[in-house]
Amino acid sequence: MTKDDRKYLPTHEWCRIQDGIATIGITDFAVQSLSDLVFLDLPPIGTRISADDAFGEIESVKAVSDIVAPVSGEVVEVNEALPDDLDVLKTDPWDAGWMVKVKVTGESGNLLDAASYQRQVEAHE
Amino acid sequence: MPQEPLAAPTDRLRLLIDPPGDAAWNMAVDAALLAGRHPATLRFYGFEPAALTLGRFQDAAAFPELASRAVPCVRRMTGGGAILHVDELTYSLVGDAALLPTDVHASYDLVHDAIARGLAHCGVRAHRVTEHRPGPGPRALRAAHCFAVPARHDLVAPDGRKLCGSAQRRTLRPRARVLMHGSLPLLPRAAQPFVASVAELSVTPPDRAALIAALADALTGALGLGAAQPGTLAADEREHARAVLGQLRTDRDTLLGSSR
Repeated sequence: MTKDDRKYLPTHEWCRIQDGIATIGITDFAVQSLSDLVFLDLPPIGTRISADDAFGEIESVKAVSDIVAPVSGEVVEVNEALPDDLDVLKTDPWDAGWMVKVKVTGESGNLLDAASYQRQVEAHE
Repeated sequence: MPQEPLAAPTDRLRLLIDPPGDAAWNMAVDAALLAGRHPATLRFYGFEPAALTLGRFQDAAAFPELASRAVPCVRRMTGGGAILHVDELTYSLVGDAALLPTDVHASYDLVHDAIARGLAHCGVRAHRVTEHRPGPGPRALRAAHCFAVPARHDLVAPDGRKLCGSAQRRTLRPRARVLMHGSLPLLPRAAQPFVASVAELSVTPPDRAALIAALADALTGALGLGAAQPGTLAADEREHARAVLGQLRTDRDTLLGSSR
């Protein structure tokens, strides 16, 4: 399942940009693929992140993986409760499971619309 | 995050055999291999002196042995529980993401089954845990020892004690790369009876060289590669490892400080 109101990276991050602020998270496909999440490390407010670079790390069953930024900009808000309740990512990765909000200065050139991302996921399954 | 293979796997596996050494240097070399460009490297090493490594997000304050400074400590770039590295054979398998299956579970099946075959070749009986076992939750994992909690994919002795535990780090930038490293205790540990060892599980324990040869053969076969080619750390990898070493030593002081 994808949401039409946002864009996606091929590495399974989503972003929804409203009024110059990007809300960023990971897709339900990513959550299902990772399974058994145990740790999430997010940057503090004020961090400048760069599109296509890692801005966080997530530890799942037996592997630590990067979370890649869909946009460049400054982190203005962090979902501080999320690392302590990773089950939220299983139940609602699209809204309650948001990770950071970023004041956007640029976007990745690799962003996909919902239909393109959905095709990628279906090809993988 | 799940990642797609970006390149075809190499047909050559570089084999690095390092003598047991300093914990921070060991982790620095693994970090350099991950940051490097060599498509496929299998490294064997060990820890001298004995050392404790913590998982990427573990809580140093939960480990009293650090407060007493009884053992050197370094944080791994991989997750999971803490490992006391003593009298063990350690391996790392590092390369382009395509070296291992994208699916984490499949990659563990492939590598640990190969290690089990290598061990069996040496007369060591172990099998991979195939059923799902709920591991320690996030809070418990902050203070957990890796070998105390056998989980799915781990190699265990017939009596269920853990013999080989591994962990992975997957990166996407600047290149899609994967590191899998793990620990294989060679001798029994009085202080950690929950740890199985190679010596306990074989009538005639193999020597280090024989064990390395058997594991390398099994892993190259499993990866669909030709015979491993003995090699050395490249100059740029060594330089990168030295840079990481400085950071790890700073982090180590932080770990010791936070454990007081």
